[in-house]
Amino acid sequence: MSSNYVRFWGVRGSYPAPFSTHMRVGGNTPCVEVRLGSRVLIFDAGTGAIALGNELMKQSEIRELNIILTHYHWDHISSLPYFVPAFTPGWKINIFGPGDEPADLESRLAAQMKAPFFPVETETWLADVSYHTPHPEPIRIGNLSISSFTVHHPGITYGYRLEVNGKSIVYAPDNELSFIDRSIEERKEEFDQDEQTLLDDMKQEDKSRNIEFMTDVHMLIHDAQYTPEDYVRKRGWGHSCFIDTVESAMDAGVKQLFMFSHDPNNDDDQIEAMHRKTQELISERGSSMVCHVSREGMLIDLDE
Amino acid sequence: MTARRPKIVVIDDSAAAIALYQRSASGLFVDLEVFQSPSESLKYLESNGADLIFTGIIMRETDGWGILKRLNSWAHHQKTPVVVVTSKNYAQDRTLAAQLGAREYLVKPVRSQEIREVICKYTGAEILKQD
Repeated sequence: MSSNYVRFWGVRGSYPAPFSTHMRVGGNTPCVEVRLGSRVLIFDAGTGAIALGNELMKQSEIRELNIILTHYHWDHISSLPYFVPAFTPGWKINIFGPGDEPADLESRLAAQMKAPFFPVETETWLADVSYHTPHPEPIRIGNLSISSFTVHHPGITYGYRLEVNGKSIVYAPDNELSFIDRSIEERKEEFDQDEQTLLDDMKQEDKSRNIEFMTDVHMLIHDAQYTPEDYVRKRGWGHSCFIDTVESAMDAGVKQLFMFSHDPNNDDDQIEAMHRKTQELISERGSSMVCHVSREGMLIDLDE
Repeated sequence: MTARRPKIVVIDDSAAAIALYQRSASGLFVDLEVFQSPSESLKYLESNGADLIFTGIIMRETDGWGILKRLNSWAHHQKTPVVVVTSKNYAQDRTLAAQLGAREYLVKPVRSQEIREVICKYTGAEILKQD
């Protein structure tokens, strides 16, 4: 393994699923590490980041981390009260997340570490912690540029895109694809002929926009939480049906798709059945896209 | 005396949505200023008033939240009614829009008639006589 890689520490959406039936995929909530030599980018701080923090404490070369948050729903920040480097002097931690100014990030993250919900506050963090907004200007870390884009999920939620060694990586763990498409279908009868023509245009625009951020991406880590049956009941919860994810990724010319934010209600067998279905869809379309199930512990070498 | 035509500003980077607003406003005694570029709309609104503003949320460059926050920071837009029109049908977004001062929150797709009703409600615009 080279020193440039992506490692999945948490792949589960919504809430942890530490069940014996879920262990082939993993039960921790979102956390993806992008390691570029001694530079560490941590996308989201779900429960998976607890183990990452513990792992980082075992080494002494790296003392600076960049935590890049898509939003502040619990499954994306709940490791921070247990993230050991934050409580350890000598560490520098740069945290990026939605907000108008750094104080917004600080207050949102501090809010989950207050009595009676937690025994110690962020004031007990002994690391040098700084807060930064990732939007509208891209995040700049050394010569690395990480751009953000707004996704279809409750509240202000971003996805991120970066280029590494000529390869593009997009991380969009929570994003409900094809939402307006179905909204239009549901109400279509209410619209007159001229309006329906405009709505058809709107659907086409939405389809283009859905794939804009993932076009020709080498590595797309994307929400694929629901089966079509589940999505009927959970439409409007802010997550994608995996069929929409796979179809959109193929439309966009994605090279490798990593199904992410797995539904904690789905066990390993169910997720693997979803994956088999993606293989059928890819085969039917004659696509060269490779589709993976994101699994905890999975390592992807960025130098290959 | 000639009556002033209420000015409606529309911010949405969807061409189809813009066309829907134009269709909705036709036949109403209003002036419509449309922007597919949120940053261009902000340049315009910084130095111009409006009687009503429609804005989308998910847009390139600046999202609708950025538009609402910027409008709140300008004294001359403190009382300008803003209506959010978006595909995001989430309770958290409705709450956020209300907190940021949006008067209404419409979920796409919306009918021309719904847009017309909102325009008339906030501007008192009249329907032009058909000759």
